[in-house]
Amino acid sequence: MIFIIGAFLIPILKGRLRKIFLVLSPILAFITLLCMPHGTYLAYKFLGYELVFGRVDTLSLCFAYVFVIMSFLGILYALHLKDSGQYMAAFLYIGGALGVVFAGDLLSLFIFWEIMAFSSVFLICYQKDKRSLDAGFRYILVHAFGSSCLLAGIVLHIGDTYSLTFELLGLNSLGSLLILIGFLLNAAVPPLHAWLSDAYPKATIVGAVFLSAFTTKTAVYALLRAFSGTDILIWLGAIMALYGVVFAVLENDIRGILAYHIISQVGYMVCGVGIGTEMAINGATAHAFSHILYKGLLFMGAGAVIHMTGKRKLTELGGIYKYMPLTFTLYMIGAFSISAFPLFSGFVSKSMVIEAAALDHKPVIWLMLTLASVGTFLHTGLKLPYFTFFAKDRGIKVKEPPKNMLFAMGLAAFLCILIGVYPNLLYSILPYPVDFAPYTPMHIVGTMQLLLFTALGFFLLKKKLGGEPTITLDVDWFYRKSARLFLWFCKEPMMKFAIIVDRITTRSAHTFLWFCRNPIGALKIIKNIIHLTYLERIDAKYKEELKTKLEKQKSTHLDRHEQISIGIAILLIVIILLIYLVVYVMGVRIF
Amino acid sequence: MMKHDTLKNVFIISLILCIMVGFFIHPEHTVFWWEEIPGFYAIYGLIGCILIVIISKELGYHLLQREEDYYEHD
Repeated sequence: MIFIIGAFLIPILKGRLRKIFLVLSPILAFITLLCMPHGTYLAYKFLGYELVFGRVDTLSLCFAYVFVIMSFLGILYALHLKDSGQYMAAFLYIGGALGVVFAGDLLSLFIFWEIMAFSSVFLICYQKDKRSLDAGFRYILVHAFGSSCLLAGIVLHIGDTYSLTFELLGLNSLGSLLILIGFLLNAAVPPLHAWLSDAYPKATIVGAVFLSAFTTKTAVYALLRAFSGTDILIWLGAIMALYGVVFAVLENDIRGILAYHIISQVGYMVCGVGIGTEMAINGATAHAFSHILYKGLLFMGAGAVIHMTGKRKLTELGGIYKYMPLTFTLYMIGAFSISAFPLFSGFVSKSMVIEAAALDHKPVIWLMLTLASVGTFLHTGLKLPYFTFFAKDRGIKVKEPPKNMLFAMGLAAFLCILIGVYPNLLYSILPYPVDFAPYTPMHIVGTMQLLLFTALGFFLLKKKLGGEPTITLDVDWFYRKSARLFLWFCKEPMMKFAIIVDRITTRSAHTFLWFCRNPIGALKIIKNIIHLTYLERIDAKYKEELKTKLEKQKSTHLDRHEQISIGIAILLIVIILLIYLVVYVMGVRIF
Repeated sequence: MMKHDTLKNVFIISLILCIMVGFFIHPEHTVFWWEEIPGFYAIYGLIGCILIVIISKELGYHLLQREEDYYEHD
């Protein structure tokens, strides 16, 4: 709430005052959160339904905490920006995300959902080049599709149950299926994920930091709330975790790699939602919490590199370690967190999901998730930093990024380590009591083996892994290329058809007009034509005569004196009316 | 390149150390049989890493990778 109102204040404020306002609002929001007791607030009656804008419980609070922390970090990171537009978009976006988290009914959920979609698109388009404008357009169109699904689902659901409350729905009707599709689209579950890998790498540097945190995680929240224990999500999540990893191998854009790893990491959460046990729900929530922090940190690191070098591809970067050691170190903390190294935040949350899969006796899922974490370390922890900061020195001379960026990254890194070292801090705010100890000797050694041997594999295959100056086709191919096909279809067959229809109608109208100008003459002409063409008995001489007569008739057809004069026309009308009168009067007599 | 070499040595030593320690820790409450194999994680990590690279690169070459201006063509 604070954020949405705050968004409209930003353009008014200038200079230092604005900076103070920007930094203070998340802090204020955080204090408000700490004071919020559980329960429901801000309930209004609307058209006979109850709208609840403030449902506060452990699950929503947990997400709200991390959202507010992340917004603080993001704003700190963005503080060097001069234009107020991005701040406004970011504030609205954060406000929307918090609104979703606290929404107690489906309608207010939908409203905030839309606010998020429409404000986030500005974070992409503010880059102001053609690539990002186009990507922004595709982004908003895809989200419009998702939102329509969601709205249709909500309406059907209300029709079925006469209730608006946002609670466990389960997959049991068409309405809930559509709602699920809407949620899955925002969670970027393949094949509904291409908007993410398409748009995030093209967003503004600051925008990507915000984007990485909120959209997918509000979707995870919504899934947790409405669809926990839905079996299909287990497989979707596990496939998603691997899908992101495979595509990240081929990606050349550094933020593209990170974007694919969002998909991969959200896969763990979706999988956790699907398993639906207490441990899994806790794991999904905890993973969302730590994911927002380390992914924010990684996007900040990548953003700092792009901000300072102006380059965003692995094939163009390299050898900048000696100029940006601080950025590198902070980035690596994020990378170790996402790879779940012991003492970093990913270790205490990701393992909960994997352990939940084990306790639920799902060996294939367990293997898939573990494999995905191999891939995660391979790219985010090894490939990306190696080819960005080391590898071939391409003679790029840069400085460290501005202080506010470094400070935000430092704070994020601190939080990542804090959660890793002292997991109870995180565990104490989870929805269910935690019965899980991450630091067992077996677990630590297993993880270290897994990760170190991944590193061995990386160094063996280093030559194959360098970035390639290509782009990778993804599901967005279907709508980007099929749009072309659609356009061609409109241009060629459709247009031809339209021309034919047009020709037929205009021609028949002309004929009709020609006939009406002089109906008697027209009838004569038609009679003669029929004589000429179809009655073959007539002899040649008469035929010639008829032909000349026809030519004459045709040429004089539209002449004034050939047409009926007005007097005659009126006479005819009078006669017809008279006949009508007679018939009418007789009709009345008879019946 | 002295530093590079030491890094490499540290890396190799930690690899070996990891495996060694794995033999001495008795896994408690495992769910799957493979968790009890010492060094399972190491093998899985190495094979997994190589598999991921090979499979996705193959996919890329044969199916997915295009020139950077692919979408700009008409």
